[in-house]
This record gives sequence, structure tokens and C-alpha cells, in this order.
Amino acid sequence: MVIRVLQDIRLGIGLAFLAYVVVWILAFVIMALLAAILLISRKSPDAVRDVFRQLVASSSSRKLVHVTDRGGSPKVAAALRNLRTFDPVFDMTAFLDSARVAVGAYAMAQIGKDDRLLRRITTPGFWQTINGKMINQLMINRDQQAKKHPDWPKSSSVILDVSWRQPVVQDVTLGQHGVDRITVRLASVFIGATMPGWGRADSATELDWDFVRPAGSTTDPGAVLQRRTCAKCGGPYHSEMDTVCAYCHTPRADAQAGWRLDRNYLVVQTGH
Amino acid sequence: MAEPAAEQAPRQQMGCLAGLWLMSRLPFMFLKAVPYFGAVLRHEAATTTGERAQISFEELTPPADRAASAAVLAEVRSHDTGFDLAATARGLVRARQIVGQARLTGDASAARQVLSDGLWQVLVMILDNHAAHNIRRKGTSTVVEAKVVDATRDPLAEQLRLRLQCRGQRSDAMGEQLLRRQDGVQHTWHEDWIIRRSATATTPENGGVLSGRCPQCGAALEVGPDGSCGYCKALVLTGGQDWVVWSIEEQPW
Repeated sequence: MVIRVLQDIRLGIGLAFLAYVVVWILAFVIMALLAAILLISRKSPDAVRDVFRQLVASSSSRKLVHVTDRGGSPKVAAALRNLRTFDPVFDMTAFLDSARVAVGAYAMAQIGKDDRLLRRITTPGFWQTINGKMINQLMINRDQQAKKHPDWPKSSSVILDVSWRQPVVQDVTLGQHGVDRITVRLASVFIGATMPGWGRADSATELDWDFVRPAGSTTDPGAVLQRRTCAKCGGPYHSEMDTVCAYCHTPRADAQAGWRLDRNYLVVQTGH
Repeated sequence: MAEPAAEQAPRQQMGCLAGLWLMSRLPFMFLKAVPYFGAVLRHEAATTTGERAQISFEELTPPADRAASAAVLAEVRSHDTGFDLAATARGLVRARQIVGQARLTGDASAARQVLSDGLWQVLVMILDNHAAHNIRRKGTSTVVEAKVVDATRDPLAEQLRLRLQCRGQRSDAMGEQLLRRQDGVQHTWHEDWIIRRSATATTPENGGVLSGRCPQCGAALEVGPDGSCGYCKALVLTGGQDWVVWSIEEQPW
């Protein structure tokens, strides 16, 4: 009887050990795959990288990435003219300028681990997208790390500069599903440094940015103003990043003339 | 003071146990990466990094066709007789000094009077991030040449890309640690400064934003943080009335 129990225990320990070995094997496979992806993506010649991009593009949902071989849509100019007939004050310069704020806010959340501004200029739907969820997860990780290691830096990377290349309006749809939507494509260039050692870590990511506002809205020229004091109690905001009044806790209005970031898609360029 | 050996031993044992515990958890930590595998793949396919990013995206945009730019400049002059390219370039050099000063001091408010609203907000975010990490910009530089490399105009807006040849030294340091630098000797580099205004805007008699004057009331420009003139409260940095600095692109350094 005792011998049988001992044999069962030995068998149990053996199985547990075997399972643990399998977990290690899986971990090694994952590490190897990740290393291979990074190697192909970052260190391989353009031709190999392009094959990799095409493979990823062909296996990804249109809801996650947009695939392009460059070039805009000829329908856009007509749609913009249409928008101007409904909303004569609409100003493309001001719109693209506010789009840039969204890019900066996204970079600040992703790299600087500060999502306050992004939360002010996005729709609730943004946080249900894969990129919104990713930012959410980053913030959860940041908070957990801050609790565990209060003396560590809040972020392991810093932004030295943010730049963007000439934006291109990719699409304009008016009134569909109760919203007006403008899609802007642009490459955001982040010049940064990361731990350990704070070495340079520059990256350029091309994304399509979808901005929406309720259908039938018109531009209020004054809405581009970034309010410095609370509209309710008059208390001053202490930072551009403040999202609520420090005194009466009223949420701060955004300054995007009604347009809010609804989603963004990674753009995979193929055919170089 | 040296610790007694008897006290060191339990500590070492605890250290060993913690190490073993970490090692046993290590493979599970890697398995946690599995749900993010797709996101990593997509991000890597869409992102260009390191030197490739510098070559593909940070290098300055090649100059546009000269004749096309000249034609646009002629169009600008035809609807705005007060437009003076040399004066605009001088104004832009002045704007660069102002923005440079803001970067040196870490105080973005100094740059409020020349940057478009969005560009300024991004600068605020960057300088906030720098302050949080104790990053300081050092160095001085001057503009030795400014020339238009691209001019575009559509029914809504007109835009000039001026390439500034700069000479000097500069560095970004986190405390004592240099993050990037062009120092030691005098360096020469190029920066593209893009100014933009509404297609219907014309040059104010007093020179406007780039000359430090309100395009609406003509007063010496004192822009509030909301982008309005301190005197007449007109919104002066939306590009509706006058040139504003719309974008700044630098060669990688």
C-alpha cells in the first residue's frame, strides 16, 4: 500500500517535471520566434523584409492593418468639397493641426506612458480597438510597476522629438452610421532613447488615423481654443495634460473642433 | 561596518531562493507574451526602426521641382502683393531662434507666439517628457542660408517649405549622460521649416506673426496660451490670417 502511494507520488512528480520541461520548451520556441521576427523585421535586407510585410499583410484583418503600395484616392477631393458645402468654416489646416495633436498624444501614451491627453481627444470606441486596448494594458503595467518599484523611472523610454511627414487625407465619409469620418495617413517619426543605457531608438510608423464627429456637425472656430481655465468654476489648469479641473473635478473640454480620434490602423507598405 | 557572517548566510539563502523562484517562473512569463504575438508581428511589419528609420523617414524630403515652386510663389505674389519672400525668411529665422530658446530653457510658452496650435501642443508634451526625465538641450546655432525648396497652394491653403542651413553645436543630455550630440566643433546641418496659411490670407502691413506682430490689430504679439492675441483676442495661430510655423523637420542627428 505504502509502496503504491510512493509510486503514485513519484509518477506525479515525474509528470509535473515533464510538464514543466514542456513549458520551458514552449518558452524557448516563443523566444526563438520573437527573436526571428525582430531579426527579419529590423536586420534583414529590404527584399526579405518586404516578403515578411506581405505575409503579415495578407494574414491580417482589414480591421487591424491597412495595406498600401502608396497613392491616395481621387474621390477624396470631391468629398472634401462636399464637406465644405455643409460646413463652410471647415478648415483643413486647423483639422490637420489637431490631427497632429492626436499623433503626439498617442506617442506620449505609447512611449512616455502618459495617456491623459489621449483620453481627452478619443471616442469611447477607440478604447475598444486593439490599439486602444494595448494602450490600456500599457497603463495597467505602468501602474503595477510603479507600485512594485516606486523608485524606478515611470517609463523606460523617452521621446527626444516627434516629427511627422506630409499628411494625406485618405478618405472622407459623411453621415455614415451617424458620423462624419476623415481618415488621414501619415508617418510619425519618434526620435527616442530607451533603457538600459538610454541608447537611441528611432522608429517610424505609418498609420491611418480616423477622426469622427456627429453627422451634420459644423465647425465652431472658437472650439480650437485650448481653454486654460475651467469653464465651470474658473479654476486654472496647471498643465496641458490636465483632464479635469483640480478644483471642481469637471472634465476638461477637448480642443479638436469636435473631431475625435476613433481608431487608428497600422499601414503596411508593400512593393518597395 | 562589516556584517557578521552569521547574518550574511540567511540573506544569501534568501537570495538563492528568490533566484530559484524567479527561474521557475521564467517560462510562464514568456508564455504570457503569446496573446501579444499578433500585435508584435503587425507592429514590426508596419514600423521602421533604427538606421532604416533615419534613412527612410528622417532624411529631409527632396526639393520639389524648381519651376513648379516658382509658379506657386508667383501665384502667392499675385493674390498677395505685400508678400516678400526675403522678409518671410527673416521672420522664420527669428521664429527658429524663439523655438530654440524654448528648447534650451525647457519652457514651451516662449514658442507659443510662432507655432501653430497643434505643433505647439506637441512641443509642450515633448518638453514635459524631457523635464520628467531631466533631459536638457544645450548648444547654440545660427542660420547661414534659407531657401524655399517647395511651395504648394490649393483652394484651402498655401504652404512653403524653407530649408535652413544651420551651423553650430547642440546636444541632448539626461543629467550627465549624452543622448545625442553634434558638438566639439562647428557642425553644419539642414532643417526644413514649413509655414502655412489660409489660401485667402495676405501679408499684414506690419509683417505679421513671423515679425512678432498681431496680424489683426498690429500690436506687438503677446500670445496667450490659448493662441489668441493679448490685446484684440483674435486667434492668430490657426493659420487663418497669417503664416504660422506648421512643421519642423530635422536631419537625423
